[in-house]
Amino acid sequence: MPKACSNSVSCARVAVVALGNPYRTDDGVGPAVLRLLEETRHASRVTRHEVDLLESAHGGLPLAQALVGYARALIVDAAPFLPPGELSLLPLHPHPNPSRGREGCSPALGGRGLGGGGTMELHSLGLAEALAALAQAGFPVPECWALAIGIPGDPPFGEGLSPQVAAAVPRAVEEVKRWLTE
Amino acid sequence: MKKIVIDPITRLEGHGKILLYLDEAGGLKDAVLEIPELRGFERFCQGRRAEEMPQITERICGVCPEAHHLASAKALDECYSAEVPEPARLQRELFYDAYIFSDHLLHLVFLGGPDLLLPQDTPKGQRNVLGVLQAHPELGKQVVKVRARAQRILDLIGGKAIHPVFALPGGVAQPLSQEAREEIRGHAQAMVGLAERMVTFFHEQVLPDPGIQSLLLAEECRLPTHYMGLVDEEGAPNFYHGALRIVSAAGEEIYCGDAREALSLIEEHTEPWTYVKFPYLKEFSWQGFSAGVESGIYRVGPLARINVAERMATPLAQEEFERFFDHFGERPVHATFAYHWARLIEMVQAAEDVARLSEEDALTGREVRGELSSPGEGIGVIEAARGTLFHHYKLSPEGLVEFVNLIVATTHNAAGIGLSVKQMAARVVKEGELDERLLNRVEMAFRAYDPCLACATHFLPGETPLAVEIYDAQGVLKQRIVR
Repeated sequence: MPKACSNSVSCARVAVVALGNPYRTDDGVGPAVLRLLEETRHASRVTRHEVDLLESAHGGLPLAQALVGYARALIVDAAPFLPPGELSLLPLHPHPNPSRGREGCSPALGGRGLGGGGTMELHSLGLAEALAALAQAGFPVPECWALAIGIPGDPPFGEGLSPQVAAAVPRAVEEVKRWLTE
Repeated sequence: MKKIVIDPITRLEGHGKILLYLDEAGGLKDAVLEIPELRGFERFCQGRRAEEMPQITERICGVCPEAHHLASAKALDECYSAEVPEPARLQRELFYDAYIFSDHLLHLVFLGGPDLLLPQDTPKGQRNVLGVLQAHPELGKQVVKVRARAQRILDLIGGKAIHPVFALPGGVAQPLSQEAREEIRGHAQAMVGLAERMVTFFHEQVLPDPGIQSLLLAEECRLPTHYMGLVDEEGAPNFYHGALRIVSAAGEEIYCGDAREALSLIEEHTEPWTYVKFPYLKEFSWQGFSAGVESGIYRVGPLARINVAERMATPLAQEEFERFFDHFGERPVHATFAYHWARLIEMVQAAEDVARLSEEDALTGREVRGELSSPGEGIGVIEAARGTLFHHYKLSPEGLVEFVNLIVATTHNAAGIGLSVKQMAARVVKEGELDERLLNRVEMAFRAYDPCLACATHFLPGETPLAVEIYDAQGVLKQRIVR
């Protein structure tokens, strides 16, 4: 079982964090990727050591706090703004000037702020912005990336993934391993 | 009639929206809140094994999984007529106080914090957590550090800091070790220290601000409603268990008794324009979206809990409780922006309670699981950070879920939030115009409740954008603000 993301002290310098609700069908693709990684971690040189595989229910500041101390982090999450099954690796580098607006957003996300150009509105604190805030406060935050996996919008309650999304899971695992070797 | 839509778009649950309807002259005619509905959740739960419910329900909310986890466990305690042993109860309660502390702290400083800690007309680009950290760097750092310690307590007891897995029907999974207790003691002292510092900071740097005073005392920010919350035997707020007390807008007790019975006091009003049901107190019947002693609309959450309480359970919180009522000179306090101050008082109590509970001898007792009887029906009631949370289950003789009903805090507050937004919008919307500065004022009314619209677990696409749409009388979109 992947362990939960927490503030507990870890020797690992790298974290892979899955977000998503496994009881909402395709929304649980992040945890599904993590489970496959976990199952194969002992057979893989890149996931065997010094990588924490984590699950989180929280985004934003709580998740950013849980990542303090790691050197690198990869967030694996469902993305209804991508075609189902499509993968996209995106940087979550905090922008030093949050008032700059959206020009730095990743085009892949339709300019919605994930790339660090978010507008930092209240109650809408994205992970990149939260990491920027913690960095400004002097906390050691990781270099952070997101592996977005396309799913259909508004997945219903239920267990299991649709065939199209399930087919993306092994590819996502390979993408995670590739990222780990960089 | 023109319509303005403030739309905090959630990623998977549809939209939580604030709808502002304008009249022909551009003034405010009406305001309502639409919150997301958990479509299909009850059907998904039917037929599942009852002991799965604490894990399933905590996944429906990425904001307060701890509250759903324990409300679910409490409902199952009753379904199985199980007596929870003292060590297990203490573990649950300590865990829950750490959650309340952590959640309230996050809102006070970083989410609602800019409304309190930064000047009201701070430019949009600075009205955020970074702005707070720039304005109050030492406090901000301290908050982040101590909040991490509270999270560590959740980790020690919950087994998983973000998805707790420790509560089971009739108790908890395992005894708490002496080493864990020692560690918790240290964290608790840091939490109490920060709580004291926050109180000092609030009185020295927040409360004297004329803008804050205006929000706290202005008549148009005052919403007289009834209030609901759990209290202990002494009449102090208790987040984990107790009697449910309902106090009228005039301060008279309407009900104080078994929290599970309180469901029979509540009726739900429906409107044709939304799937959301609006709970109200049955004895008043539905009087429309209006506040006052004749209306059945009630509120839950920090302000409600302080208003139904006779006292606080801990000394520092009690001092602040007395300052709170002295300041307003009325009881109950109806100022919506007093939710923030009430949140501070509760945060203090939660910190002190963690310290007290960490000293309880029975905390590390070995008996952590009560005996289970035949499955039946149960209602679990708990105070989530945002207000009273009900989990109601009926189980088959085989222990499978046959019926599920959840009433969450933001649903209780739906009518009240809509009314507060309407009050503020009426104050600031003139001639159909709503610029960024005025929009923030409207959002401040919404944020005071710390409403939770997040019923799924995500950060992508990384923010909860707001869309404001202004329609003319013919329903044609005239202006759209997206951020």
